[in-house]
Amino acid sequence: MLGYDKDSEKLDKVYRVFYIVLVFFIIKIINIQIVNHSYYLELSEKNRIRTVAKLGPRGNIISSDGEVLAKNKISYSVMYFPREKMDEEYIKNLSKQISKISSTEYNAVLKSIEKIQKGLKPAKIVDGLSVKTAMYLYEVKNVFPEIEIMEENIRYYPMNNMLSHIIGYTAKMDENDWKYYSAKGYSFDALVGKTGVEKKYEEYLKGKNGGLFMEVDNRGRLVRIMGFEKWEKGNDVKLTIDYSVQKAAEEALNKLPYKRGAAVCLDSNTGKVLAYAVKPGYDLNYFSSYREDKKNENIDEFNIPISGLYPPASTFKIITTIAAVESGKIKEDTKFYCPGFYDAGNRVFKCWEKKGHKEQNLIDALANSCDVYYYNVGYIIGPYEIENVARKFRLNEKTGIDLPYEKPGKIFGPKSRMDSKGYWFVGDTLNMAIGQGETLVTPIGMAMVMMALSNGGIFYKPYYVDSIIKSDGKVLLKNEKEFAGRIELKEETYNIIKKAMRRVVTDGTGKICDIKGIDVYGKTGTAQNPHGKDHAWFVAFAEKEGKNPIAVSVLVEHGEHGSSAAAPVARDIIKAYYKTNSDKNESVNEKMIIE
Amino acid sequence: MITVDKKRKVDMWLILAVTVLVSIGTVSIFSSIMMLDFKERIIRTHILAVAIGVAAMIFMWILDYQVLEEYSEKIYVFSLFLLLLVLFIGVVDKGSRSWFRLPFFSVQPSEIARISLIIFLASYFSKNKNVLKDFYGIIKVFLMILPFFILMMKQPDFSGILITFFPLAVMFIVAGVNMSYLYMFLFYIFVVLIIPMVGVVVNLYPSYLNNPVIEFLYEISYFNINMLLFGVGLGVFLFLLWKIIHKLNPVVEYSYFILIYAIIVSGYFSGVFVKNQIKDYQYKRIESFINPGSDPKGAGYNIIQARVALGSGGVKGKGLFSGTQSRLGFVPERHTDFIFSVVGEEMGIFGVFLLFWAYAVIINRIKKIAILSRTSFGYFLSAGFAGLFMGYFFVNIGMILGFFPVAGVPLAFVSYGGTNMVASFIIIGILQSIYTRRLLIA
Repeated sequence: MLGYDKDSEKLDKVYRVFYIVLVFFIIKIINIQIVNHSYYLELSEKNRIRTVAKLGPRGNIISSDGEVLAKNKISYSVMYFPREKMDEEYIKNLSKQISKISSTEYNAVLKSIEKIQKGLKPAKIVDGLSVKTAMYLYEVKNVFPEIEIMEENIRYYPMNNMLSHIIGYTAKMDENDWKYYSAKGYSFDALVGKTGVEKKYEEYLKGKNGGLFMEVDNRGRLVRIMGFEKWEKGNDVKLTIDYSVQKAAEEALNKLPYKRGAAVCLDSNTGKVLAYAVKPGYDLNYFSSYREDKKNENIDEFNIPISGLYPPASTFKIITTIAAVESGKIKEDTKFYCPGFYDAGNRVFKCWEKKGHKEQNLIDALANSCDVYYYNVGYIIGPYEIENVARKFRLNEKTGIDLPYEKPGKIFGPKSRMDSKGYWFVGDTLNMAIGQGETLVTPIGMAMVMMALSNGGIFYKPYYVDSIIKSDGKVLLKNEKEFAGRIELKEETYNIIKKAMRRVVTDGTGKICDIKGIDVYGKTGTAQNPHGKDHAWFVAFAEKEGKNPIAVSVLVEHGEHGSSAAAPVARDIIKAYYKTNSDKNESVNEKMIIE
Repeated sequence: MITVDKKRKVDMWLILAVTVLVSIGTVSIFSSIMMLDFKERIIRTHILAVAIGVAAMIFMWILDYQVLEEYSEKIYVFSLFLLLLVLFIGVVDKGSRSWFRLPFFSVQPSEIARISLIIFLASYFSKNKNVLKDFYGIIKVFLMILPFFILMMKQPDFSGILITFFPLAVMFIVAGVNMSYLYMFLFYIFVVLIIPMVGVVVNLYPSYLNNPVIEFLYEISYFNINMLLFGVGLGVFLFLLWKIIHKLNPVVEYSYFILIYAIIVSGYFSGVFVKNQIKDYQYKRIESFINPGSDPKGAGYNIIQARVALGSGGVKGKGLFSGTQSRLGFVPERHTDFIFSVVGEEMGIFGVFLLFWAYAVIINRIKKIAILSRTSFGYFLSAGFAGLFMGYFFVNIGMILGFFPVAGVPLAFVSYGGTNMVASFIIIGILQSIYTRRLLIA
């Protein structure tokens, strides 16, 4: 050629470098386009496809008579999208606007925004807003584009703190929930049931999400709609609760000046829970909204009907009466004289009526709740008989209702004393006979006693979920009564105890519960409380042609007198169930026999 | 190995490869701009550019390239004049005053000036074959090309300066530059880069400051007393070092140490100077290069999206006009600097290999043309052009593949860019001219 061999050597060297670089490029391109292809493909899809999820609404929780106890409500919230380098004045103005329109405290809003600015991740600053407020805020958005108005489905409990323990509440997931629910395809900010029915039936209640799939460009603008999936409403859970009865129970409890109490009403033929009222209860809506400082508030979550243990007091005289008749040693017309006290030898036991009831038979004694009569009875029949009957009535067992933290009662009789290596004194028998001492029962335990007395001796497991209904009306699940046990008593016993408990209501301490047209059988009780005022009891069952009999159990903490505190609640419950408005004793100002 | 081609008048391989590239480019450009408002203007300009380019190519081919040798100085001076002119009457785009606005399109004098520089150097080297063998020769050449760089700096056209290194490097090597000078230059560049790089690294990973070396370098990277201390300290250190080594081996000249000292100190000063000059966005580009995740919505965005586009294409690609990353605008600058990612997304690895092949063919044919060239001027010209195309290939595709930080360099024949397209065609025309005249007697 031209004799440039030496120079073309150099050119060769340069070209060698080029080819080496080319090889590196080829390796890298294979790595990107083949080895990691699926990864990049996924990313490119994520870029261009947006899903607007339309959350399927959660199913409702309703009462047996169709009242909605938990439902969904559309509420609006404001989200703040931080940008780098935000002017302080600007943020202050924005906070002022938002706080004014949404009636939220200015400092709270300002602090939220500042916190978000620090973290530089968009987050909610206010929620629970109405449509109107949202509309006003849209205008604010024109001036301050960093906010976004979001539509949310929140869970709303129109009855606030009614049936709090049974219904339960929903809230955002925490770590433990997430472990369980993420596998089921929940999105991380979904609401899940935390307690009660909301949690137990989460699977049924949850709606199915649908969505719109859109292709967007790099500015997020819609290019075309790719697909649409319809959302579905979740299933409704129908409770056994009768709203009119529940409402009556709640209102009656609220009317009382006492802070804590509970009332339970069961259908004696099925075990259905018709009413389950707990005062104070807690507002389920409290948990739905977004709060920073939830931990500071005091919420009384104690489930009185199943976890509260109280001395049964005079209501236990029912047990003693039954034990007495069953033993054969006491008859309806067995008489004892009550001078106002009873001499037990080493100690004198008093009757609540200092003047004494004079001479009574068994019926009178229960009607008047005479302690002395029952001291006599107890002494004659002995503690074993009484303990036996108490056990037969399952007072030391859990009812098995599907709620957590149920406690069984404690029957403190000679058997238990023996187990704890103690001694049994006569005085213990006397106390036991009138329901004082260390015996403890739950309100629902007493309700079970009433149930058995009203249906011929059968125990049904209490349940509160009637059925699960799909949004199209189809019934997915229906609960039936569940047999839990039986007590065998003489017919004579039933007659006598019913007669006696009827007398309590018509003439005795339970007069306030006497309702025209309905046969109400009841018993008052005043539980001695060494730490404060006495607790008030009233237990009853009611019968009327045409409807199942019901069992009622009311306890008012520190209510002092069963007749004045607890009995009125029972009355309202029974009236509501039978839907009558007339009292036999029209005037409330009747002279009441204070026990 | 030297082969003699048959009596062909035109290098068909070159034409074929260029056609392939322009076709790939056109299709990709059109696909990527589909959603843009001003797509008609781009289509119009692109077709116009290709048409003008082809015309210019034919013109340059018909023209005897040796004419360029004759007028090389005048051409170079004229291009320097254009570079100066654009500083006064040019328009600014993306931060640099690099464009002449004409009725239908804009022209970038940098592109023309670069070709002129190559022509000028090719001519000079062919006349002074050993000029680069000694130090003073190098200085002489350096001074001759300095105006070019200064004027480019003034716009500023950093990517233009960057791309010019490639043809220069190849031409210097082929012109027989003393490699030790080259290595010294590289060493100097290395020292220059240390200071700003330390700044970048410390910004990204502050924990590195715990390393005493990094901390030391960071401390001296400011115009303050530390600088003076460092300069003096280094001098003393090297002096002592020389003393010790001299004792052991008296052959070692002190001049070496003076040289090393000079390079380090000048590199150091330049480095600190550069560090102060570099703009924020350029820092961000380097940071994103080291760690694309560090600024995913900002400087890293381009690279990440381009990579996603490439990777999502897979083997077969998403199909012409169907690239979602490109069509929907997720890859910015997709019709210019990032056109390669469009090719990868829509035509898959098949398209990529086709593109690689076409480039390899072009660069290969240029080597053939260089060797076959009858004159040394033609040889140097070809070498320079080979270097230029290698540069485009290396920087543009290297940037998308992650070997290089984002540099704003187009991909010749494929990217959208009027001046670049015409300039590239002109180069092909010159090459064809060299090729055709390889057998003619002067």
